[in-house]
Amino acid sequence: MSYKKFWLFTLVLLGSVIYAGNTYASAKEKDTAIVYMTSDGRVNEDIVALQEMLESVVSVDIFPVELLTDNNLKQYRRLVFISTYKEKVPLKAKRAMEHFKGQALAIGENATQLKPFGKWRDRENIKLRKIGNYSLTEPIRWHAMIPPKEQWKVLVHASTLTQKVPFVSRSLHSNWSYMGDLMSSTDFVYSWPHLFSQVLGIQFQNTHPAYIVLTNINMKTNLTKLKETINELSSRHIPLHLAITPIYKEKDGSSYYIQDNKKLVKYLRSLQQRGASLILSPSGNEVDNSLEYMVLNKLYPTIISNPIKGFTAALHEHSHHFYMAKQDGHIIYPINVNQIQESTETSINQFQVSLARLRNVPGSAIGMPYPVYLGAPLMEKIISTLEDTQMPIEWIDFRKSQLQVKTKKVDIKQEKSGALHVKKSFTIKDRLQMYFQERPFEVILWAILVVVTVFVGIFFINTLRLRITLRKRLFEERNEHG
Amino acid sequence: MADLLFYIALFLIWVMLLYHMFLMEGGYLHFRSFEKPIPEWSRNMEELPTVSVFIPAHNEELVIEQTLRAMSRLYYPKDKLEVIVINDNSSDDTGLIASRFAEKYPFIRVLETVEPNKGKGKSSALNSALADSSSEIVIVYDADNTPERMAVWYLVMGLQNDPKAAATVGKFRVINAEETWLTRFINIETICFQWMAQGGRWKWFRVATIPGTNFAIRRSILERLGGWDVKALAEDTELTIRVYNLGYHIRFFPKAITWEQEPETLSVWWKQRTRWARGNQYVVLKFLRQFLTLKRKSIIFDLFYFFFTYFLFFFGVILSNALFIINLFYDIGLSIGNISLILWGLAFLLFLGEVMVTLSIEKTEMNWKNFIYVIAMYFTYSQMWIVLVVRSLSLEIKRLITGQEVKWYKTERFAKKPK
Repeated sequence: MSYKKFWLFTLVLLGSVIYAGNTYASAKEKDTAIVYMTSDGRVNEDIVALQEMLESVVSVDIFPVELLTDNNLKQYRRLVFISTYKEKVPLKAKRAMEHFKGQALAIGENATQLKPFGKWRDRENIKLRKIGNYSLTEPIRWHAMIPPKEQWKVLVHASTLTQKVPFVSRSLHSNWSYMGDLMSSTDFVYSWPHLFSQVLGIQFQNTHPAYIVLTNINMKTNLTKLKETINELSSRHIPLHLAITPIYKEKDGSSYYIQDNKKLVKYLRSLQQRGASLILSPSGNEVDNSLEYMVLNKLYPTIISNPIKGFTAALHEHSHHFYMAKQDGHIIYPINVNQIQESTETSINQFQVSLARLRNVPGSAIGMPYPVYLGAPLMEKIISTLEDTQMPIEWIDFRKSQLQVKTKKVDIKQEKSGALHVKKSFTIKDRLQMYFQERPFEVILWAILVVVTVFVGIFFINTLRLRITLRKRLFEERNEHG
Repeated sequence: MADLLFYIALFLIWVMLLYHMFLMEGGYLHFRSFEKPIPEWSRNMEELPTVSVFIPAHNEELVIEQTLRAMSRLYYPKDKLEVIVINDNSSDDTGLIASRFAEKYPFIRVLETVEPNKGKGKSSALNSALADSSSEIVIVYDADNTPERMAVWYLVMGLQNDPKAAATVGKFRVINAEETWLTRFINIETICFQWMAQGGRWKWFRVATIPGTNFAIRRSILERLGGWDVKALAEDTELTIRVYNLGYHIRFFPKAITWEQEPETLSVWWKQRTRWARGNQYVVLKFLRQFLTLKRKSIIFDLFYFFFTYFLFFFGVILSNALFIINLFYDIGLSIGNISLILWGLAFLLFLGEVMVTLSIEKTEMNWKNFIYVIAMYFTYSQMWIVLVVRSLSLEIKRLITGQEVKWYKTERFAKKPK
């Protein structure tokens, strides 16, 4: 081999390695496939929760079982097949899954239609009361499947009042594992990351992305308490996220508009300039109205309290979800810690319980709502409690994401640098309509003002006209009367 | 709650202010047009009706002489004119002075009231004269009035040329305007009232109110109505409504001018205006029950205007003031923005504008001195009316409850000061 040929060979080899690396990186992009079988062909809450969790660490694609072919699965390293009702698995899909070489997990009773589960036994429906260490608040009816003992290792048992049955198992001789059900609405959900790392070999990161959302900010907010709370957060360099309700409605139906508290609006604007992220928390269905009121007051929200068209990011309040996720084009920030309602021991204990659960979920987001009326002292306590858990935490700043809000009249773009670009297209009629809706009586008063101003003008012109043009005296004046 | 009360107050106040604003423009337009038909009307003044001028007088020795001197100079055929001084139970020299004029001028005579009408007040006195005369037209002047020479002529002209008119009312001016600060205020008030309330209402609705003086009314109408209501303190307003209810209107014709004396002291003003306010409240309450049975819509509207003025408007003002004062010391949660302050300022400008127009109509009245008085008037004289109306209302309610008889207050007169 000549010297030249040697270098050529070396270069080709190096290129191949780099290409292989790239190919691997590309394969990593296609890490996990979720194949689902639901009665209506749509993903349900369980599947969404699963997808979110997996997406927090790997790339995930999701297919309905009907669309599955051999080719679909070839590029994936992991497979999750989930079925939520009993139905025959389409042949193509069955064959594709049986040929899958990577780590695979089947969830639900249709799993037994696949070859690796050929020797499984059906059991009658039983009432589950416990899954692993998690007791269920209410018994759940479940169709138990029993694996052959010698070929499967049971990882988690489920229990009825009298018996124990396998719930999560891993095959000793194949690439398949099995899970009875997802049950995302139960506390079983806290054990998912641990189980999935066992059965699919997925490693979850330890650091918890965390964020505090200050809630209950409206026209009636106590500004002093808000300022104190903000100062508490700022002193600890915790990013500021403010959920604002621009039109606050009392139970009696009366509405309070944020612009009536001018000091508050001014302060919120200054916080926005300092980098705080504003979240729109509308009352009822008044999303467009609320957004427009905020924008007219130069407050530009980039997130909404619940997912809705037009916003690329949303909170997910009272969430059972652990991970920030993309859902129907929305970035979802779950609020998964119980909101503290008052400064009582019970309330703080509930907060601690929420944290303790999340601690068991590696890499789970910690989304904490905090009503500003509770003020700074409790916030300090909350943060101390969080620090006491010694969980590895990374504070997330919503302002550092690329977000957009787009409606007919408003377009707010947020860059990763935090810069906001706002386009508004309100006509005078829009503004008048909004003002009238907000303060119908005051609009009438303004109308009176306009009319009266016109008349006052006319009267002064009349006066001037009389003084200039009244040439002949129409009445005998008393001076002449004598 | 505070907001709601404030809006109610604003509503009550601004309904009146807007209405007055509208009337003011009407008054101005009437000023620009009321003289136009005079040349044509003058051609219809060949066959003139007989006229009786009634001058009810009770202890009027201070003013009756100048009044009768003005009467003696009236431009009207003397064979068709009689001036009747109704000497109503006077204990001073009123009768004597009047008799001297009666001796000198054959068209002037003195009528002494007799029981049961004697000393019962203006309405009773006028009814006595009505019974004692027979002319086609009755004209009434208060005893302190000095009508201009053509006043009666123009009053009759209004009736001669308008068969639908039961009465013509002229304009009165204040003869003692420069005497005291109070008479200056009253002078501004009366000019404004006549062009705004009388002129404006006539222009827009063909409605005018019979004042206590300087008006002519057809005898036939008076007889159909049974004369003046002796119980009424504001017999003029009361008569107005009955006239309209007959299907006639009352023409405001400011070409007929009289000059009258106004109260120079606060106590006299208070008594006189209390009588007026109570009189108007009496009329509103009397006709309120007949609201739906009244024939003329315009007069129903006008009665409602009186009701609004003497009951609701002042309630609104008091409510607004009370909220303002309470809010100074205690946060009652008023959320109405600066608009209320702007409106407050605008109300003042509106007042200024309206008064300036009317003062400019009475050309010489629009001077710097009066301008200062107008500004002061808004904060003093106008506010006095609030107290007065509340007092009058309490007296009127008391009267309604106890059923006590109303005592007629005769306005005190002031001797003409030597210059």
